[in-house]
Amino acid sequence: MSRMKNQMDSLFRERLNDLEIAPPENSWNEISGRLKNKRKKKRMFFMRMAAAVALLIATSFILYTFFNQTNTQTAISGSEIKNQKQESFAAPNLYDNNQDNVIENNNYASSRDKNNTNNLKNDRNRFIPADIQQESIAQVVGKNKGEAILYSSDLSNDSFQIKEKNRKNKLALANEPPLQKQNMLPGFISDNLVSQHSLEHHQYEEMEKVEKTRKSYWEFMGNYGSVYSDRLITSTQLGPDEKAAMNAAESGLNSFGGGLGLRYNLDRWSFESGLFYSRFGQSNKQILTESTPYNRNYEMAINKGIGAIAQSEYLVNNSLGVIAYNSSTERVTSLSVNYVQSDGDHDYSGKEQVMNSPVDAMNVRLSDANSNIIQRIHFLEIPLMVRYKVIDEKFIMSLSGGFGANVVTGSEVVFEQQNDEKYVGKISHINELNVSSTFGIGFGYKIHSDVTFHIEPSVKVFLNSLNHGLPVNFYPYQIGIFTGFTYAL
Amino acid sequence: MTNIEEIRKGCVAGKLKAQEELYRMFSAKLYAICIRYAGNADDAQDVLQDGFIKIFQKMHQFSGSGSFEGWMKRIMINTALERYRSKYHLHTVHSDDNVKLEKHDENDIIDNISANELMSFIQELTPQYRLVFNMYAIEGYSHKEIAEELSISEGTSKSNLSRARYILQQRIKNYFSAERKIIMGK
Repeated sequence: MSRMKNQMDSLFRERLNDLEIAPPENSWNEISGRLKNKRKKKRMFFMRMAAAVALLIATSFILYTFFNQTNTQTAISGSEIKNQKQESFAAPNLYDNNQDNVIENNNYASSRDKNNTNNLKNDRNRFIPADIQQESIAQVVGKNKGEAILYSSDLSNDSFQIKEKNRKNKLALANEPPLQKQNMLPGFISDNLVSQHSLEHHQYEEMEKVEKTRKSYWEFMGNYGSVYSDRLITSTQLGPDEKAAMNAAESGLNSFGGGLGLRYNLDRWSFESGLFYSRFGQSNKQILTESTPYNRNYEMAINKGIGAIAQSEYLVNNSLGVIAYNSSTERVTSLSVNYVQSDGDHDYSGKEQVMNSPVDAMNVRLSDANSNIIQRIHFLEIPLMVRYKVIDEKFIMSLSGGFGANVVTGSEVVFEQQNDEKYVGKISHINELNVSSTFGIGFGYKIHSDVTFHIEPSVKVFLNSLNHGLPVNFYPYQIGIFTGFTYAL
Repeated sequence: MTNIEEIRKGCVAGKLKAQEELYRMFSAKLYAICIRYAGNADDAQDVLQDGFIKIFQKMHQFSGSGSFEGWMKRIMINTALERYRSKYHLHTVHSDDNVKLEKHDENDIIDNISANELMSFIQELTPQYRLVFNMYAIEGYSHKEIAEELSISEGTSKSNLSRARYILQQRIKNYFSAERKIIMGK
């Protein structure tokens, strides 16, 4: 019986196994037609992808512009109200030391700011040498939310320079002796055939497995997203009121980030790295002089314009860093500041244009709130991220976390007034290399077997203070929503 | 471009010329498999086309170990199986439905039967018998593997095989009876 069966099988196998029958002539034409069609579709797919990415970038850009405009409009509307009240300050030539004028201004400001400023003034005076306090102290304090505070310190005096701080299975299976299978097959089927079958079959199974579960594979990824950046500050030298004033005054910026990377997927885990650009910054709506030694010339670095009389130079610093102005660059030629002056017995708060160039009479006043100093820092980040896919189906949900090395590739300080930006200089006292930590929740959707669209809200926190040599430790953080695609390689 | 490895690399790179060359080299062998699994020439041609498209698409997944030809055959067989999975509802046959083969020794006569005749006998089988017989007798699958591939029980696979063998045996017997009659009639 068994022999009979084997004979039947053997007959068919021997005669038919290597049989060749020429397929119909038109077969190849149809196959090649389908192949060409697929290529066209693939090209169309990539074109659609490119269009989607372009749309994404355009949308992000529009959103980014919109947010920026919203901020500016808010600022302008604020300034209009102020200007109505403060007509006397609009006079272009206020660069005189006429005490009456100052006092008049002081009285105005005093009526608004006395309560706010007295406490801060007292705190801040702790950091200023007594002789300077007596002679001339100017403080400008953020009167409203959104106003920033900048300190000015004399380069020569250093009064505010405070020192401080896949496949192995298959091979294994291929080597495995197919004894069991051999026993199950008719006795005279050669070992070779079984072994060959075993190998091919396992190979196919493995291939199918890879296709179905994609256990380990590489992906190329591209990300782009809107980022809101702000910072946390700590200081052992500033009082809580000053820190609160800084927090209220310096505001974060809407920005963007993005980059390219590689991801290695191993089952539900993946490891990724790449090169990502991001921009961090803050907007300062108010400038103040902390200390103006020698005389009441509150000349700031930024008003050393063409024809300006620069008798002494001041660094302007705030919580982020020192604005290291660039003398070769065209700059705003005048600047006015709000200040609080104390002679020990009386407070004279006021607002004054500290420098008015005889050449360019543009009256730039940060305190009018329709002009800002914007500090921007550009980073290139090399992250090392680990991701765990909680859901790994057509829809993917993942948790990610990791660290990044952030290299500062540049910084800039610009004067922004009514959407017109003037380059002022760079930011000094910031670290070149910074370490950050990032956490995110990723949502993905497989739009193709190889392509996944993803969107990922994430939070990135700097682990070290971005600045150094300043009384405030500055820890930026970014909240972003990144979108992009991954492509399985 | 005669070297199979070069052709394979060309296919991985998506070169149409290499793909055509591969087709010319293996289409006859693979088409024979398609005919063996398909019930008719039209179906066989469809399987051949689908199979080749898959081969080209998955070419980069071939690791290089093992037989490349065997790998292509496997894809073709699986394409045929997929087609029949969707086309026919493979039904379960109880395992006690075994059929006993007749104990006729036909060694002498079946030696002379042609491959084309055998192929036509296989094609006359019902799809499920045809698949099971092909997979077990010719490709060397085990009943367990067949059961998994076709989503049937091992018992069903065994009984299908017995039934297919019986039918083929009867077909061969009838064929030779007719042959004898023709010869004797002469």
